[in-house]
Amino acid sequence: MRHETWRREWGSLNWPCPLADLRLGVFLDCTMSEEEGSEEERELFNGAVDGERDEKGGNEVETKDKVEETKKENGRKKKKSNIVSVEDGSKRGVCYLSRIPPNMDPASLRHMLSQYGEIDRIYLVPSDTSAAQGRRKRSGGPRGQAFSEGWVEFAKKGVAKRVANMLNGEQMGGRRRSSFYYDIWNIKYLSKFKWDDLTEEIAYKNASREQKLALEISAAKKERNYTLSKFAQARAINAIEERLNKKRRNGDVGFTADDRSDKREAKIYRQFSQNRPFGNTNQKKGTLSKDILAGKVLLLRTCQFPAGVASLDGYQLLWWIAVNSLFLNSYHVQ
Amino acid sequence: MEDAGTLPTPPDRPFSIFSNGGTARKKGRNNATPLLPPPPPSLLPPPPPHGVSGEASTFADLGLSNWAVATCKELQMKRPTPVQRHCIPRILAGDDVLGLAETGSGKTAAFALPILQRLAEERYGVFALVVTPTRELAYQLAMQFRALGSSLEVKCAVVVGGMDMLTQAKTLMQRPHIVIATPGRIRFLLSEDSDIPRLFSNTKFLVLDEADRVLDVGFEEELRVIFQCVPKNRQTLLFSATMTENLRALHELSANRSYFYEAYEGFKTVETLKQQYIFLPEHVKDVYLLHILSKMEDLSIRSAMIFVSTCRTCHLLDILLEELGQSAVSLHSHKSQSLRLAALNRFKSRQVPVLLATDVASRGLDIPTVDLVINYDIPRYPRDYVHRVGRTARAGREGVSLSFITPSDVALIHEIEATIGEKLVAFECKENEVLEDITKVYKARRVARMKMVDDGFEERAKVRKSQKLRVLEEKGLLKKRKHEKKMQGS
Repeated sequence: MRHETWRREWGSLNWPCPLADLRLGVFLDCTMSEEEGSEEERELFNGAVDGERDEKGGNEVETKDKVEETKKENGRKKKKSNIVSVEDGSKRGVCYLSRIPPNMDPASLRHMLSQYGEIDRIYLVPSDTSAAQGRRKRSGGPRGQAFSEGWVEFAKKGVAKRVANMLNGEQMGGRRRSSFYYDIWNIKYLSKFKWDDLTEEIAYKNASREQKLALEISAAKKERNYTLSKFAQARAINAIEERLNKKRRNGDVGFTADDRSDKREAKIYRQFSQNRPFGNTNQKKGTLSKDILAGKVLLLRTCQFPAGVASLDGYQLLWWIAVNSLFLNSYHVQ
Repeated sequence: MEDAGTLPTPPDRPFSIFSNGGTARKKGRNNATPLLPPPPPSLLPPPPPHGVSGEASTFADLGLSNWAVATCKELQMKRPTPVQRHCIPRILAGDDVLGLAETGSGKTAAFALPILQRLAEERYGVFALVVTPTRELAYQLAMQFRALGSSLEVKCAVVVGGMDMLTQAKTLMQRPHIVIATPGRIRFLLSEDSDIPRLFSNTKFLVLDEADRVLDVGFEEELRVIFQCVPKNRQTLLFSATMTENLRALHELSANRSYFYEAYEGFKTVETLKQQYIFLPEHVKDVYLLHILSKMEDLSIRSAMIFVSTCRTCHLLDILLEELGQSAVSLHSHKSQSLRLAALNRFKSRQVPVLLATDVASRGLDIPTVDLVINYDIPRYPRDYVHRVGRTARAGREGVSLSFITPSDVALIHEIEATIGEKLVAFECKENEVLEDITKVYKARRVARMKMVDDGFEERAKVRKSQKLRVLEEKGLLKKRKHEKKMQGS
């Protein structure tokens, strides 16, 4: 049986960060079990499954013993196998693919590589969508998601090393009709590199974001309390004010003098600095040259004297006019 | 128009907004009074008996052809508005026109209809060039031209920044009838491509829509290039809702050479608009905003526009409202043009009831379903206020505007009230109800700020700012301002 699940969510995997935040748009192919009848050596499914590992949280190491049902394609009977895997990640090896041929996706990559060994996780980096859009426009029609580079995790380090050495620089081959028949493998084994190294930075960023968010929310609460207290205060002041007014209107004793109440009303709690309007009168931007407006050369640029021309001394003023008259003349030329 | 080309043009007027030839024969006419009835051109039929005091009351009376009248009828335009009544006959007669009328009073049709009529008589290449300050407005104008000229199959080209330049040059080379452009891009094409200026050598009309903004000092270089390319015997039409120094100076300089229609003195908002305000502290603006947006259905508001002063606030509010589950789109200049248009179209087609925008959307946009305009920040220029609230209550419909006034904005709002000659009224809402959501909003605001840091807005803003400064420096506007500041400081 072959059932592939394509997931765009990190939550279901071991990865801590939701996709949207990563802003990468990662395709992750987590094939639960994939058995091809032709591959005799892969009869048993070694149960390192991303989804389950995630559910079990941290203690992945000892809980890998699972009963897996695998089914042969050509109608062979079901085989039950009880495999105790002693994986803690140290056995796995990661390979880097520097180029992903067009039309290749995680599923096809897994299909191609799984004939050499057990594949665990695959991550391909989607190429820039905006560039793809332009290309699509030019060549007509979408071509599916393209990827620029990727990482493949093999279940066994040794296998990974061997496969990388064997395939690197070789033709991909496979079926002649396959679109990457003539493409060349670009694969390198990354020594001392673990899958977690890939996700580490993201996990860190994510954690720090969470932390910051919590801080922000508590700050928001404080801010809200402060605002609400101010509103309550304002209401109280208004109420006092109203009561006093009422008393005064009723002619209560002690409020005979009107000036006292006036003083109260005139009390200023706080002065706000005012935003100044840009009126039409003090147009800071200045006005359009008159030559544009009417083509009257004599009036030209009179408005463009800087405000401080008056403060210049005679020599400077002469110089200013001379320079500007040069410009004035140039306007005659059409 | 027929004698336009024969008149000699004075050599000492290299650039002028109003053409010299077309206006010279109108000398001596005093056009300053807005109530001046339009002189019926010779081709006009005599006014019908039901005409009120000699003023035309149907489109046919204005001298428009049958097809134009039929189109107007199809578009549910029953009778011409005052600005159309006054300006259309004068444009048909070949005058330069400066039209000043309040927002939503049909200025676009006032220049589009006569241009299309002339175009129908004489179809050729680039017949009219329309310059408009914002890109969205250019697209809207193109749509309106297409709608009004649907029976003509008029070809419009939109030449704006942010879209592919090569395609624009190609479409221009196919000689569309009407070119609608923003100043920067058309100037670039005109000066870079030597084939393009030739296209405009026979252009009959030059229109500056939102003339007060286009005639801003920031567009000086662009205007110079544009004026050089269009011929002298063109007709120049300027339309705006607000008056500025530049327009006034222009009017003074060309008073006896052009027709000036002014519906009012200075600034005015429409009467069907209910202008309200809320006085509130700065940090609860968001809470009030959410409250009002959640109340939109109760207040029977179909869609609302929220104006803010900066792109940053716009972006932040966009994230905030998304966080709060209120669907909204934003329109500001830090977005790519395709995103801007997409946002606007989603809002126009009522997929999304709320549009957050900077002042880029404050002018000209005609979206009939907008019932509410919220001024999240109070604009520094009173005329921006007039344009902003003009997005609602268009063409005689009702509308509400709501301004959030913080203690620091009191001077601004006094200035605005003095300019429009009207007092805003307080908006009634219960403080307790508003403050129910405060926890949610404050939390969302913090999250939104974090998200904004994460999505790299600040870096993009920095890049844009340096670009902008460079452009300003090239235009020589930056130095002057620095100079002025120094002068003021000393």
